[in-house]
Amino acid sequence: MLVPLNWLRKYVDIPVSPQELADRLTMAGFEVEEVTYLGRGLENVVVGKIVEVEKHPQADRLSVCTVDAGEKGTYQVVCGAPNVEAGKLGALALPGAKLPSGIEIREAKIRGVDSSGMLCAPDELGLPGGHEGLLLLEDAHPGQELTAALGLDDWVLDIDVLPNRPDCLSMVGIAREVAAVLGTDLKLSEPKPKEEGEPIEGRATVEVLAPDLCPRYVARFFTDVKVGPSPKWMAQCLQAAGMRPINNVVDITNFVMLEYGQPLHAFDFDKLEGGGLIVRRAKPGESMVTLDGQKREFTEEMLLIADHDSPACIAGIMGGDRVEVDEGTTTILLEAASFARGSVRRTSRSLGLSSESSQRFGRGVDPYLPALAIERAAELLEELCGAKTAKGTIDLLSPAVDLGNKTLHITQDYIRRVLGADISSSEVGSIFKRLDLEAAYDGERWTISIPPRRRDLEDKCDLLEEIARLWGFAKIPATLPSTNLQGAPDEKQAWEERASRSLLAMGLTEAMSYNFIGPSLLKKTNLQDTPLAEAVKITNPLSDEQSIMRTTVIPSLLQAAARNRAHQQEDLALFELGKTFQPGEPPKERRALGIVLMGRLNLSWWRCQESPVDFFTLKGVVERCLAALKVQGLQIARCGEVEGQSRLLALARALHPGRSAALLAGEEVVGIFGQISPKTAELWDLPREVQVAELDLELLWSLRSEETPLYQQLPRYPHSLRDLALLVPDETPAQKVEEIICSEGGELLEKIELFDLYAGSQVPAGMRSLAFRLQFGSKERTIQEQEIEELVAKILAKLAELGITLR
Amino acid sequence: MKDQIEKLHQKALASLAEAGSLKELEELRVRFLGKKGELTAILRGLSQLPAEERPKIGELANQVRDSISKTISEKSEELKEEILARELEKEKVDITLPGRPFPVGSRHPLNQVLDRIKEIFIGMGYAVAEGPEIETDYYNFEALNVPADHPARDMQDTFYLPGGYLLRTQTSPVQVRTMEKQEPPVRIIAPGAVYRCDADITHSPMFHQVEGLYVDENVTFADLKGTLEHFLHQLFGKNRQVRFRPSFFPFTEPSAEVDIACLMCGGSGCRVCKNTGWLEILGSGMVHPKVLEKVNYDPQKVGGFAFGMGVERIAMLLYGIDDIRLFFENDLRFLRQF
Repeated sequence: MLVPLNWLRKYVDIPVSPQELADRLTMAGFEVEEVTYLGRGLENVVVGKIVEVEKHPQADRLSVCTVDAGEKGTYQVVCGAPNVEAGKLGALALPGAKLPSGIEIREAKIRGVDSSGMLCAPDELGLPGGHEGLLLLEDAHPGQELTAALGLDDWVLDIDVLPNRPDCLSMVGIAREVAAVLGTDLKLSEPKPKEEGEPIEGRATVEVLAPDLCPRYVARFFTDVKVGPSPKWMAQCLQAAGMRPINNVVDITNFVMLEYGQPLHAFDFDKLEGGGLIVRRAKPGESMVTLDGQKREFTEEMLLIADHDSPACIAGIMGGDRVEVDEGTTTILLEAASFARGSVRRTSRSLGLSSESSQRFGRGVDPYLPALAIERAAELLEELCGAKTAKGTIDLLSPAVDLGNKTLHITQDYIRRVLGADISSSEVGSIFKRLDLEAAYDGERWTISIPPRRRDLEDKCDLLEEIARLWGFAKIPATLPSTNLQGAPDEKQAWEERASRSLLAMGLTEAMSYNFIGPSLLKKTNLQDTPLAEAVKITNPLSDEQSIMRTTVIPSLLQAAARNRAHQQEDLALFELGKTFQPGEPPKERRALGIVLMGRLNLSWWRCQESPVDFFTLKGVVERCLAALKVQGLQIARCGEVEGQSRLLALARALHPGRSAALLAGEEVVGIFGQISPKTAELWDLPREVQVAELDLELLWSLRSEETPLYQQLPRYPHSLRDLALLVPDETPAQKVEEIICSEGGELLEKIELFDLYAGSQVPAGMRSLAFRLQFGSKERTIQEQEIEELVAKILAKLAELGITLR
Repeated sequence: MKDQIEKLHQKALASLAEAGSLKELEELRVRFLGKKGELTAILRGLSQLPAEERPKIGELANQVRDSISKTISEKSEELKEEILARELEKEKVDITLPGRPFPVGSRHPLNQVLDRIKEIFIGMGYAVAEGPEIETDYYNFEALNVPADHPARDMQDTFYLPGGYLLRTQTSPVQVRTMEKQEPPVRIIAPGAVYRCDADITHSPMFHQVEGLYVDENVTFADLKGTLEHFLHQLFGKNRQVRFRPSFFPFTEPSAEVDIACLMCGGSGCRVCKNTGWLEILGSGMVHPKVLEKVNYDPQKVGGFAFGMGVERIAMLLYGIDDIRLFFENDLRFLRQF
């Protein structure tokens, strides 16, 4: 809310500087976002009377003017404006002026003629009006400061009024706050129109058919209205507050709205059918052209002010073109009403139409206010438009409204107990006085009478806030509570952190993506028409790209890979610990771990070139991560060979069928990983070798082991190593070979490691060579050569059954 | 014979002095001291000497043998040193070549800030709680004293989902959920993602908050001030000025906005703090009695404070980041900086 201080001073004494006022208001809960001096840059500009205009001897388009600036002296100024004319008053920038447009004024010679100063066009002064000609003034005298002549010698505070204080969307409301904060006097007077017209009865009628949406409707009737421009003081007030003057009638409604916070609406009575107004809900299919020239279509829950024929105004939002006050208007029906805030907000939102009026009604205009504001408007219409106010007021008040004061209590003990500060009863009393609230004290308990203007004060805690903010938050001590409560991280979060730490240690960087994605991301990942496409949809998304809650983290990570690649980042290793969402009642949220690898994980340097990541790089990352999460005993299977359906398994559609795997706990898929399919790579314009993984952290959480590892005695006897290079048929998985070696090797086989794999011309077709290093050892003794020979023979015999031989 | 031996001694010492390699040295050793060497050859004539001279000559021969041996081993050491020195010289590397670059991942800057915030509050005895991001109107608004049609709903533009659900606009619903499950005393922080329909360089439709709640007997506004001052001093430094400014939140009364002296200008006024010298960092207040009543706490007996802060905002201020969208674009060039 823009608050011009010259206007505000009409209601309250302000003995401090604008900046200090701003600081004090800010610290009392009314944050001042900006303090502006309207006359900034106009310090050396005065009103000058153009006494004489002569042609410039050297230039056709220039004139040499003699300008009388009263006590500031007389100046010779060269001027090029077409509208320069002797006898007129202009804005004279004196040498030394630095104008808002950036122009600096100096004594100069223009085409050989001395010029001291400049007669200014509006734009040069930072004012509206362009550069067509000089700014010409009336009601001013030579030598007067321009800021004074234009009412720009004023400061404006931009105050952030919070939603609980709709009463302060008004000059009077802010004046009350200023009085409370500074402890100065209010200067409010009660408006008293003369009411010299004939009684309103029988001349105009109002009917409220929707009292639920319109708790109060007050109207007054005016004749002999002369529509014309507003006086200078009112136009200046409105301009300083950010509103454009239109005509005296409209300006009065705006002025009173800014003054009291009560929006008003003036109807040209002669344009109303049936001599009156009906407050009702819209009929199906009804429409109206609003003041801004737009045709608006209404729905049945919208509240209208209509005449006996058709809509005349959207209640609390904007009037109709048809009944607008114009130069010919002489008779006015003036509305001051209170509308249900929810209704105004909903209508305003669904029509996409907001106004000063709708913003105030949307935050709540109390039903006590219309009767007060309409009196003020009547007084001004009489004074400024020569209007005659009809005797009497139409005042339709819903019986559900209570306009009386409410009583609240608060005790000194409560104040002390909740604030933790000692504020004496006399200080508390003075705060209530500054707030203009009637308060009685019985030695412990305060009884406060709350008028309707402070309907935000509903409970003693609201009073407590008033006391605290006006006493000063800064004066309340700062203490640390004593307690025996223990702090602790969330167990599951701490568990996830273990995965995070291991991934960081492996060189992966942590990503964070939006939890909403667009269906196009699923499509690019080839996941449309899978269970993963069934997502929670946002009803009012900002854009299609952010319209569904993600069901998998992989599309977000592929997007990150594609984006980085677009920025010439070819090597990428990212992980994200985030959420996925599934529709349901209620919708489900699951923690998930996503991984994406592209290019090289290890960094190349001058000693060696690292090879790009592949399935096995990813598998290693996943295995290490599972170890960090203390999840053991998972099975691995090709996705195509897993029975049943699951959302995770649906991800297989995005992956290379031969280079991807599902992680299983029994029958359940707990994760999936592998290289993206050539199709996915193509859709994303990514290299084929991009690797991705997604693990379901909810399932893994239930599979984790909480066992603390027990110390194993260090071996006291040496171990022996044996290398076996085996010719293995291509279709036999390495894991199978390893299993046989382990089961035949028994407990003396301590460790087995695949150290080489060869496939090519040196081995028979359909076979590959797998070289294993076996470590034999015992805790009790040094094992003998012979034992090892026997074990190896046993292993080889078993392997031979599968057609596996020594190479 | 004595002369012969002494001559041999002189010759051997002279030859050894000339020796340039370990091989030459070995040859000389064989030549003079070997079984078929020159000294052995001379001593072969020992038997022809008179018996009384033999010990003398024998002694001399031993002295010469020892002297030559000693010289050989000295010379050998000397040569080995030289060889080693040459080898070391040859093995010299350009120590300015880059060392092996080990890949190190970077923790997301928001999580780094969050880690720090958690650490400080855990240190003050706060437990970490969580709640769903898909919420109901009840938990996100009603239970927090924001009934339907309340103008405060306009402060937060909400994303709605079918079935009466919405994306939580704040972490405050976790307050309600925690108090429903637990009797006082309650002391938690609740970090998490929140959502509002708003997008520009300082607003993200998804961002993160940390909510705090402390409800017990005799909790005061002074405790709120002390706790948050302590927190902000831990996070931004002991000398950072902190101020509490009255504000409005539907679920706290009194409510306070907490500002710190601007991190850029220190309070003199700059673009970052819009010339106020202060940066808004936290919203806080005493839990509204209506919120306590909703979870069946007795506001006559217990009370407390709640607070909330935006993690992105704090991270932007700490790291000097001017565009909030960078946090969610996963650009390595950005993520690697922290």
